[in-house]
Amino acid sequence: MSLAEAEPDFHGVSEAFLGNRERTAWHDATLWFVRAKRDKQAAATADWERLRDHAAAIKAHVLDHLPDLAARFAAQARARGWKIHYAADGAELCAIVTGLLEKAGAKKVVKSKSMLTEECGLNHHLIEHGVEVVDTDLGERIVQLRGEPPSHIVLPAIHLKREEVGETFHEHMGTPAGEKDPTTLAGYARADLRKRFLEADAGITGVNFAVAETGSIVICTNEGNADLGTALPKLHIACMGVEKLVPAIADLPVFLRLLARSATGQPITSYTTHLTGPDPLRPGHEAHIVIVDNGRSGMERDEDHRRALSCIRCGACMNTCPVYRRTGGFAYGWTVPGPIGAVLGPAMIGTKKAKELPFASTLCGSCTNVCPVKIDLHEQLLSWRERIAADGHLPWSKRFGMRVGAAVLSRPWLYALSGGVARRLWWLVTARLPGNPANAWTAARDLPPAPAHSFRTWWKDAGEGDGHG
Amino acid sequence: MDEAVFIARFRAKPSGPRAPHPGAYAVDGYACDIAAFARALESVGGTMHVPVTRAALGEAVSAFIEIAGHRRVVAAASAVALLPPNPRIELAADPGQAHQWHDVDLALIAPELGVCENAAMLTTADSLPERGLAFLGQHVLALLDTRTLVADLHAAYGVIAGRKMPHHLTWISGPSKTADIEQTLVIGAHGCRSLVVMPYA
Amino acid sequence: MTTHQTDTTTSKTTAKTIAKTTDVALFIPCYIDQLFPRVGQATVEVLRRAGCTVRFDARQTCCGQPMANSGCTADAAKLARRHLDIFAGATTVCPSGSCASMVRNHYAHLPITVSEDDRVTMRRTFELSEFLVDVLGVTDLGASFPHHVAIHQSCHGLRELGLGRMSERMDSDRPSPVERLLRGVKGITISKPKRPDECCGFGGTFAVQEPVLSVRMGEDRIADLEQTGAEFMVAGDMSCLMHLDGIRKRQAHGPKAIHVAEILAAR
Repeated sequence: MSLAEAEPDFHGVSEAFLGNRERTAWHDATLWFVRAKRDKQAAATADWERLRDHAAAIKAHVLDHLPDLAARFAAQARARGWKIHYAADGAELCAIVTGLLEKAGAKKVVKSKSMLTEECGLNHHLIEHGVEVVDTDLGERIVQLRGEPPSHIVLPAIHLKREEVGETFHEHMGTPAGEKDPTTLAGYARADLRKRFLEADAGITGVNFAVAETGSIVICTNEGNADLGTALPKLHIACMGVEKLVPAIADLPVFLRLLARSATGQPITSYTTHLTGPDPLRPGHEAHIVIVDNGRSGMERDEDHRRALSCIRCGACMNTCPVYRRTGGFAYGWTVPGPIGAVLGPAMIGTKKAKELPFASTLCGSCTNVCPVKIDLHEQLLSWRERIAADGHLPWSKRFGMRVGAAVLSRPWLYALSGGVARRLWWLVTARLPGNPANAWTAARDLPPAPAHSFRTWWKDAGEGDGHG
Repeated sequence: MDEAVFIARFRAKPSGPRAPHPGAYAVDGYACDIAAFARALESVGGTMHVPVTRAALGEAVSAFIEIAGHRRVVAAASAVALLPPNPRIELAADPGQAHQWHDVDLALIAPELGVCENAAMLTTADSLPERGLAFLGQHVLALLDTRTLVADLHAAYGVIAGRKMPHHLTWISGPSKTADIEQTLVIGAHGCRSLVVMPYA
Repeated sequence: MTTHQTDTTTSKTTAKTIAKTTDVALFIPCYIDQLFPRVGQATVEVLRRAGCTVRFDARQTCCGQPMANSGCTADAAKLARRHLDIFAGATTVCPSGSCASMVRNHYAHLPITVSEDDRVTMRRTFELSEFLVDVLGVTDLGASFPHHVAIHQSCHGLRELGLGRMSERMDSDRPSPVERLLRGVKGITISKPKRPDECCGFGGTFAVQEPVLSVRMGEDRIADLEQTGAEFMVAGDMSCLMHLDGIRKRQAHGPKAIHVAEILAAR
């Protein structure tokens, strides 16, 4: 079952993660390190905020012109020899890819990182159809061997320690037991995957940007896996969400200067590859692009949330999120974790399944500040809370509590009376008895002692008057 | 799914003005000199060779190969064109057949330009039709004409603007790398394990 | 509701465009009213010392943030409407960045009709420290507090009202008004945590919905504030401090919580 089919259990999974105090601290520190690298790069980029503004403006333009750009891209791409396919949803993407592989007789596939194919459950589908699919991004390879989904969109194995990676490699690749040196482990993966690149019949990649002006796609990697995966096999299938479109080549440097700096604190990824059609020097080379909707058209129509389609998948909002850093990515329960995952989740898997995700945040706003394309993430989270309530997916207790709260707070006399009673019976309010709703607070925190009087009583008693007029 | 049906699922903006494109973007402030490029290269895990003259390039490359002790050395045609004949260097023939380079120790390439902002070097189907070579070679030596340096990535795209997009165009910035295990930087992921830039003028 | 952009520059511009005023309507958040009256009293003391005439309208209760942040916008809207009517036309000062931001930035997105007059009321709602520093231009209130304090930057004041330098932003160099005011306090020693603006983990109903996570965030925050060696952790929001102090008391170590108004009121 792909993650998209399951119902996220943020509360349960995050509490289990937090149960290991030492690992939580390590996870937090590791992600904070990435955030700090991002800060250093951003600070060294004199035009950083202007660049963000410009990127956001291009994305806003793209969102307002998706049909035009998609049509233009398709025409240009076809003229350069790409075969273009369209998938309404994940199932269609899987069927198209399987069909292309079957037609080419391709049995061995190397894949570079693509969150879209994770979202669509492509790997699972391919394996079911007898295709040997190997994820080649090191982090994705590690989680693939473990039978886990990625826990982060840029750093898929960030939840794992080196010892665990060593054990995984030992178990699946027969590397020496106890090996935990990252360089040595990466070397084993390199040797193993080199063979697979050379033997592969097809390469599947994601797409970072698709340029309407020229029909080109851009793929960014540090490892070089997308390049090996497209330079060697005779068949290339690129999978992209329609929101990856940008109007022109001249728009690319704006995003490329932001992407790697935001993602990993590098000035640019090691390899930034633009591909335009099949390679004319390779007879029989086939190049396909599958353009996917899978919920994006619904988001595009949603005025409150369409801006989230601007996401360039840098992962900076995860690295800065004080919640994500302490819960790990699995708590979010679907392909994209962290703040952007909690914003895309309700749109992609529905407000019922994703009802917990927008609440998995303190709304501190740090995500909004790091986002290179200026998605108002914490405001989007708030807006999804409203939608979830409107769709009737709030827990009854919260819905009822807020209604009663609003009724009391609309009546100053009732508010003052309830407050006074509560303060007088504070020992009872704060008593750690079974069933006391205050337990959620008092289990690990004290409540302050109740003061003898409220501010309003003091004001009145001090003869300040009631202040009307 | 049919293209028209797919595109019709998206409706652009139904009402109100559509967001205009913000137009061209320019930045200044990035230095454009070999020292700036070298700093950026070092930050991305690459190594800067001392600058050599165009005339001394052949000798410097020979010395580089001997000192490093590389066995199979294969050069892209654009790199070969810069060098005097050298029996240690094999020309990458048949550029579309990448598998033949699976055991290359050193790949010699000649990128079209370098970007001081981020040490990215431009390779395209024109300068590197032997695309697979740059990724399969265990090590890469890039011969970079210092007159091609540009300050920043916008300027770099300005250079290629107006050109018909070649089949492939790759910015290479440093060697391949990964930090996927505990954020520990490992140089040499799938592509080259080291990248040395030899600047010449 | 199409945009949810908050305006972190509001206070700067309003400070310039709104005539300096010393006739102040106090907006005391409900939890301060009921649980921390001393913070409200300190706010009155500080405002008076700054030359203000202070009014308190006892019809006020709550700004509606808990409802809005729970998605219950209709409930929040009721309280927002009341609030705007009670504070209509006033220059409002609130010892909480979070509640001030709710009124200034979020009311426009609730299902109420926001008139031009309402917008003026919203714009003229200030957090205490920004009112003192940006509107009145006061940084020395003659306070004395011979203690070592560490500043906790509350998120909404920082990122929604722009009260200080945001660590993520490269165009944010505005000194925090809380810090500027504390620098004017006699005898004080000021420290900052290593992570200058990490969230404390309170988050309103988040604190009780995800208590384990919320407390863990708070523990980490306290540890960072504690390593400065400070005796007190000071913030502009009592909600963060209630959460942090509750953890501090339970774990029986760490700096004590104190609201910036309490320090400014100390002689």
